[in-house]
Amino acid sequence: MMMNLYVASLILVVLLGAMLFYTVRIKNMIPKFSTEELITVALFCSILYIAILPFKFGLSRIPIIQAFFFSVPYTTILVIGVRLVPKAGTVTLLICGHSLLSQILSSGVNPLWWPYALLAGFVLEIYFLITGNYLATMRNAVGAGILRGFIVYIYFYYFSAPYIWHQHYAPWYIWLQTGQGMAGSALGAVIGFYLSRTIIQAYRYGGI
Amino acid sequence: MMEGSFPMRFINRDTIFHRLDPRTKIAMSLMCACLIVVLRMPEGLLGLFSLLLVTFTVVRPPFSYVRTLVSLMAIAVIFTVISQGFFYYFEPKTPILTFIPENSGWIGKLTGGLAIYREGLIYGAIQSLRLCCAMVLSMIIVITTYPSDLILGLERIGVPAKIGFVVTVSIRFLPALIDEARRILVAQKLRGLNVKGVRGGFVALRYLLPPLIIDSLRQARRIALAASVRAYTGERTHIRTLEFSRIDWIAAGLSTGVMVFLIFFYGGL
Repeated sequence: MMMNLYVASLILVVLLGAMLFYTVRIKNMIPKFSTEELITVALFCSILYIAILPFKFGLSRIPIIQAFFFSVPYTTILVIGVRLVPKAGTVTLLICGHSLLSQILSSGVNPLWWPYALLAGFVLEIYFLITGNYLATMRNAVGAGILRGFIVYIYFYYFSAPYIWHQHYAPWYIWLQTGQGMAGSALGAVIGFYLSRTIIQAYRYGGI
Repeated sequence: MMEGSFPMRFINRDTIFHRLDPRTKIAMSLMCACLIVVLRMPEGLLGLFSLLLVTFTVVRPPFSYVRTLVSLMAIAVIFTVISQGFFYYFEPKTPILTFIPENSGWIGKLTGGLAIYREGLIYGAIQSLRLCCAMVLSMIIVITTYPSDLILGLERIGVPAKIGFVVTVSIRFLPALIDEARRILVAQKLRGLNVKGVRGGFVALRYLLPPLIIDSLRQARRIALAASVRAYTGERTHIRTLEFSRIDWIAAGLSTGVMVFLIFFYGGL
């Protein structure tokens, strides 16, 4: 039963990916990244890795409050990255690239975590396609932050934790963590949007 | 500089695991990940954990790595035991310490009572073995495989070349980024920035990120230019080629045998 639910969640991720690919193909939006864009994405993968390094070695296990503090720096950097390379595929490349980077450097290649990263990327890609906006407005950024917080924590506590690690949590705790993840991600999106203005101006007009 | 930044990294030694093809290690880690999920009985988990520990000693890690692994595992075990002690899911459960009774106001009603259950503590201790297995496995992979070999192995098993390129460039960015972040933080501290505490952390984020990113973007443009003049098109060639040797086939066969044995005797889907 447990395994079936986990497999069902994998099928959901594959279906989302297929739906996304089909939509992007119909709209003729299949991403073509220039070398400079790919390197910018790589830079943000590294910054994401550094920003959440303290959480990997202990802080992420502190109960009750970890979701909030984990979400803020992650979403801040994600928002700045997407605003610098605003096109289909950026967010998936960022999230999957970071996930793979941290697996290669510190946590070991574990394919069981790949659906988690893919889902987080696909959901945001679909959000950007629906809104037709790649974090160009503060409202869009906050919406993306809240959506990211909701999806990753619900998926982790309702699928990954019970079916991979066999750990169970009370519903009130799951919703407390999800609420914190959403609040932290929303705050991270606000900070990221605010900080990205200076960076974008320097990137476009500052002669970088 | 890198040494101080990462608690674990590749160590150049001549052990049997260092000589394995990265694809064999990826396949072995996939098998191990499957076992972590499907093993139900504590004996099976303990068997897997013991096997991984033996492997870990074979790769001869330095004492600092052992200390890091032990402290990481201790944190994982403590928090898993406590969390599962509180949130034990199955019946029957025997409360040994009640913090909030079920009928004590709105918190009691919302949480359904908050207590530590004896069966939950035991369950948490057993389940923490899964986390410990994953930690030992990750350390074995990280210290026996050079990152670029792992990326090459991933590309050979179907991970898109662009993702491989992004990860390769990310790894090259890391030392410079960490160095630059330290320099900026020192400069900001000399100007009177207080980075202590939670508020200090958020303030540091505000004063660290823009200069760090702007400076790194400059470097990114230089790398992109260098790649473009070398006619980079998204496809890369590699000096090193991967080849399966007899030792890889033996390792893959042994791992498959162990996996089938453990699933057959201690597993359950």
